[in-house]
Amino acid sequence: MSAAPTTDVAVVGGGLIGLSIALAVARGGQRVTVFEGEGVGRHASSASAGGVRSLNRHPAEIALVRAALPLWAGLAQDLGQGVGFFASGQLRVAEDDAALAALEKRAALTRDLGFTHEVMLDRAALFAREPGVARHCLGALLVADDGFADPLATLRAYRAAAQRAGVTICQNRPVRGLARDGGGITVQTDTGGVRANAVVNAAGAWGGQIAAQLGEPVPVEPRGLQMSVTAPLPSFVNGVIGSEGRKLSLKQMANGTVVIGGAYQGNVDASARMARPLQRRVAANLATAAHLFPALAPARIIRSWAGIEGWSQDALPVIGPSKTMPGVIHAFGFSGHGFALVPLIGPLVAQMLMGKNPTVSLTQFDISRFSNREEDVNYA
Amino acid sequence: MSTMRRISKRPTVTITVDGAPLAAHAGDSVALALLAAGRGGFCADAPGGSPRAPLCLMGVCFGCLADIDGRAGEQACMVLVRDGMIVKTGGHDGTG
Amino acid sequence: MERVDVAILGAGPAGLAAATVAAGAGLSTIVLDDQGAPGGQIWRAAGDVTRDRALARLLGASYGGAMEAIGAAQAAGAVFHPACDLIDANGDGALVWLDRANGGLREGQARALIVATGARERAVPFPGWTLPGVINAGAMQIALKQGGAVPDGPVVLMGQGPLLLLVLQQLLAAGADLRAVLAFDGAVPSVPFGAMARAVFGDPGLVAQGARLLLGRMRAKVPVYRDIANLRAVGGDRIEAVAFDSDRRRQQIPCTWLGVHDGVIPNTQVTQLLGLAHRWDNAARCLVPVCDDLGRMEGAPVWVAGDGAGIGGARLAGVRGARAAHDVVRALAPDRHDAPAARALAQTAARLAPARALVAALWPARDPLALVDDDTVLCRCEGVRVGTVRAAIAAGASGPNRAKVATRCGMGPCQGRICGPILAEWVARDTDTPVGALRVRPPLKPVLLADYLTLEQE
Repeated sequence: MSAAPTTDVAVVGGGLIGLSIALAVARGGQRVTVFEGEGVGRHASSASAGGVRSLNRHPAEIALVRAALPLWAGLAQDLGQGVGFFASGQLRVAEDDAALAALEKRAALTRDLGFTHEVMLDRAALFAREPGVARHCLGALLVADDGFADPLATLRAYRAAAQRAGVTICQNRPVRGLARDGGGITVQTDTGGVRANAVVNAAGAWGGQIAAQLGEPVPVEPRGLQMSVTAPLPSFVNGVIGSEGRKLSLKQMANGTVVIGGAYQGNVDASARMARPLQRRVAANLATAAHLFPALAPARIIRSWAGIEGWSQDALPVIGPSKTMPGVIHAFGFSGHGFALVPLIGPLVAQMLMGKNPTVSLTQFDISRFSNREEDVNYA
Repeated sequence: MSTMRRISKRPTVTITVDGAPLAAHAGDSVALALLAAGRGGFCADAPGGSPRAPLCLMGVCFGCLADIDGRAGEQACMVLVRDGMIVKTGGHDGTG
Repeated sequence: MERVDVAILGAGPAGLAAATVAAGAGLSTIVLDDQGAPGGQIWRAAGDVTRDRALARLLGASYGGAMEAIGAAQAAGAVFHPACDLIDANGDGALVWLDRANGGLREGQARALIVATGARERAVPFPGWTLPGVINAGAMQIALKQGGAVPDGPVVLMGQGPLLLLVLQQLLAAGADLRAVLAFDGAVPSVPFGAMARAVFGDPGLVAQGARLLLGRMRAKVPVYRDIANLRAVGGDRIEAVAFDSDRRRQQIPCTWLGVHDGVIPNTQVTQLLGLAHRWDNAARCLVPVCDDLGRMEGAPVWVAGDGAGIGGARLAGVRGARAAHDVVRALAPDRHDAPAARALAQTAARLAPARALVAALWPARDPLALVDDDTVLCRCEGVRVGTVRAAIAAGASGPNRAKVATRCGMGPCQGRICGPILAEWVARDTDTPVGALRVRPPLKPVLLADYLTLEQE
């Protein structure tokens, strides 16, 4: 009998979160192997809208995402190639009085928590910043240093940097289970087991299944968030735009294409690991966008898609050590807004693996919260 | 010659292309009318502004995109000419 | 929302035959087609062509049975929706299409779907193939059928396959100034006697037609070049000449039109969009839907018929369309299933098959990358060059979708219809993996936002 191959740290899931963790751990001198069930970034990572947003975040996530923002500014340099990050600002406009009041209430809430990044813009300031926005808008909430990045470029950059740091990436190798094995853990796959000292569960929409297998079930719902993209248009918008009380996220890329989303859900076939957009919902999404931006009138939609993302019950991620299997750390269920956190999650999980306290508190994301949950608020 | 000549008789249809009248044959697609008139590389969506031309004339290659009656990015090979039609091309066809 | 028993996509020989059978059995049947008139590519503008004396003389042979097939589908009660682009479909029979004649998006719901979307010409890139004046030989034929338009000025044809031989004859008859044929097949292809005998016995008409076309090329007073290498279309704003080595001698032939053709491949956009199973056909070098003998695909009430189910030619397409529709009738209205007719069609299909196999054996698909250099454009929409894709594959892009993400190859408006099969085969060869396919996503064709707003919102 020959000994199973070994690695120091196994990362389950080759999405952006998994790659960020793998890179940070490998830079700390550990041998890292990533197990990806399909291809790198196949689901949420490549279907992401690429928003880097602290605007209107769940209060529990504000500190986390504010800590991630400075990392985006230096990410291209850190990874050695571009990620398409642009601090365009993110705005949430108010289209009526009720929306304006809601934004003001939100701004007050954030201030009370001790943050200063969300700023109210009046009508004049909104139009000065975004001349293309429709004239019925009354104001907006702005985070000036928010922005967006290119998810595909970010994937390429993380993958290349991880490989340079010595990370082994196994694609088309789904993990079937984790088993306690003396002082370590065996990662079970169809082509044999790999022994690791520690395992990170970064399996996204499938992270709940792994937790369940460890005896600590977390409800994670696979959702397919719809996006569509237009053919290139002349530049008409600077920031990433949402609208209070409506489902919309819109941005224009450097090449002129406009990416339009807004938490509309497509059809998910979890067993086939496929999601499809629903055209009536694409139409609803586009109607909202066109109402806000007259310049979209001549636009042509060239593609719509839906990528599978894992939503936890409270729409917050699970980050922290397993309670049932020592040596396992969870980092999954980012509920449709994990992209902005990617550069931070890697270093934080690496700190935990080294037994240190993470530099940003993660206690609110601990897996134990699902034994006594409180409320569900949608902060999309 | 980079034009096409006709071996069948059809009524003439006049369309306006980039501001100038262009005589086409009834039954032509806009793409065929342009090709026959010697305007090969008219596509409005050429990468890097290089000439780009239709390849298939049957709706597959998207090498014939043009603005037709205000509808941007139409497949000119799938739209039949009509009297008074207004066509705007990318102009990358050497005709200025 | 239009609710019907059967929705047929494509009004070529397969779709028309299917419509005749389905509607004839009393099933409510619609036929969507992106052209303004039924007939598909082979019977394009059938009414105009058959009415026009000059065109009828030139093209009439290809239109045998066209008006009868169109009339039969109409008489059976099938409803034709012209100028409709399919935008989205799912395996439950839900359809969204753009109605270009009336404007706006429409929705339909069918109990069975027959996909009869035919074939498209295979793309084989070479340096200079994006120059205006380089067009598919099939496109030259479309110009002839649609507008009686013949390329003026010197013409060169290149490639291989029966359609190229046919276009050669039609252009000569139309008085085109044909300067050369760059042939990638042999002058008189050799085939085993047995295969030939079976083909002649099963479909003498097709074999005779093929022989006539091969003989026609030999008799034409047009130089035929073979053993082509280092081919390049030369020009500035459009093609001015084609340069190549033949028999190790450099040739340069001035021309203003270069017609290219390398056989046809199935249009699989719809069946791919539906997420149904496909396989790569190594000999034909194309993706083919996986279906049973009658065209039924697994996992959804979807049948595929005609060239879209694997190239079979026009006559076989009609037979396959009718067979698929008989199977649909058997599934939806068993009491109206005409079993004897279905059996007779099975025999006809078996009889026609050997001649089709002969055609496939005579003109095997050639290596789509044989003529490229690193500077050759592979993706015409996005201007992505061969060298860029080569680098991405070397850097680990281990599937067409990963190569697409890395290079934007296949990301433009044609959604990889032109470059996708080449990319898929190339990545598979270099990574020693099974051939994949670019994912197909809705809308199947880019749709104006204004058109989207006509759709019911949810």
